[in-house]
Amino acid sequence: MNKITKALFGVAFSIAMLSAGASAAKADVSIYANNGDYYSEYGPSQYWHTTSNEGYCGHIGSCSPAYMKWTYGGDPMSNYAIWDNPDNNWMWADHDVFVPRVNATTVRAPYCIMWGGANEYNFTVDQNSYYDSWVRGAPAQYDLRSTDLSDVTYENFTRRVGFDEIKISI
Amino acid sequence: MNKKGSKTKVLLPAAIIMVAFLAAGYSIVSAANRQVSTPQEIANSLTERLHQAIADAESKGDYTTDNQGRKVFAPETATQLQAFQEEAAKAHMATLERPAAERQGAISRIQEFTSDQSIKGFVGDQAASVAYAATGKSSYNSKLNTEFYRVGQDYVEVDMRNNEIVQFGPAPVKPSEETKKFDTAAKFGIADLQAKASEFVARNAKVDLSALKASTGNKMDTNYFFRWEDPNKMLEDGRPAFVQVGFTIGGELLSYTNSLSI
Repeated sequence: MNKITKALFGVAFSIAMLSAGASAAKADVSIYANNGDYYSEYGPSQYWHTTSNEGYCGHIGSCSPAYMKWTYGGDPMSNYAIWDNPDNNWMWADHDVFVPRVNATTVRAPYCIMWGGANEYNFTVDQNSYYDSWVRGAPAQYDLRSTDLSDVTYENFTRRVGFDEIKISI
Repeated sequence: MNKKGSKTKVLLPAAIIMVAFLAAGYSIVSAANRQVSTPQEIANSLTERLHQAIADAESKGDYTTDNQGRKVFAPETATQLQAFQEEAAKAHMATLERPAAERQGAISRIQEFTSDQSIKGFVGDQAASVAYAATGKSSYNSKLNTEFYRVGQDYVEVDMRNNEIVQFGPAPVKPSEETKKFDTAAKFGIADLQAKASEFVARNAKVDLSALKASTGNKMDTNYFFRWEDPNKMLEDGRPAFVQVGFTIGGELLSYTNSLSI
């Protein structure tokens, strides 16, 4: 599937929806999908679950993929995903994560932003308290390069970690 | 004609101007050595320092791996870069933010919002202690800068144009920090929560809910979310603007979002 670029409100404003295809032109907002060239997931396939018609592209925005992914949270790490965010090198950016209305019930979704080469910014999001909402993961990160999310929630496999879109605003 | 008198007449006004100039705190330097003074210049200078420090660290290759196997800078380098980023980030945000005195309106609005009984059990009986955290792109409109505040364990996005709450909910926390705990004892039925939600949204968002499209959902059968969408107003990503509130069945506020006027 191709990158979708929308020009809204005229001059010098664009949202790039990044799933597969050529690398994006610089955009004010880049939304990184949970599939395609900018997304990688790891861990046993039987622990990855897909829910169609849910998540940001599933029933909110007109984009793809029309599904969200999830896995059970626990310890030690089994499954994780990485969103490459390559279009913000050497720039200041704000970082948001989309929390779907279903199958995102962990209170400790463990995100990690890699910035400035090999620096980490770790934080957890209470996905169970948000519903089809963007949540500000981190303000003002410099040279933001990637985001990863794992299943290390220490919740004894009773909660679900939702994997969906990441938004970077410069 | 008094030649000496004429020179004095010319020199004295110039001297007065010079003294006034220096007294105002301006430095007289050559163009080549112009001092950094504006917030943008300070931000640019500190960002450049950060950029160079990152480039130097990458070329030195002083890496280790974290407990999840990621390649990261060694602790001393990471600590230094983190300090540089924090300083540069503050300077960057200083180019975006409004004066601190103007933020009092937002702080008052947040205190009013958090004085609601459904939140009060969390932030205590006294007026909530609100701390400014950041200014940046709104999570719902990247053409608009909004402010972010911490109040207790919650994070609040505020529209600077009118100090209205855009989003309220549990703040992202460091992995070592406690997450916010909620009362999930079954004290309220869904109809009660619906009524509570309608009243809460009408009071805080000041909207006519009858004109909006309503929907309801839940997570874990303990957290209920009530959403109203405006089919006539789209957010920048093409989805309907909405107002939404979440309550636990114990009656506590989980989160609130109002993107109707963002």
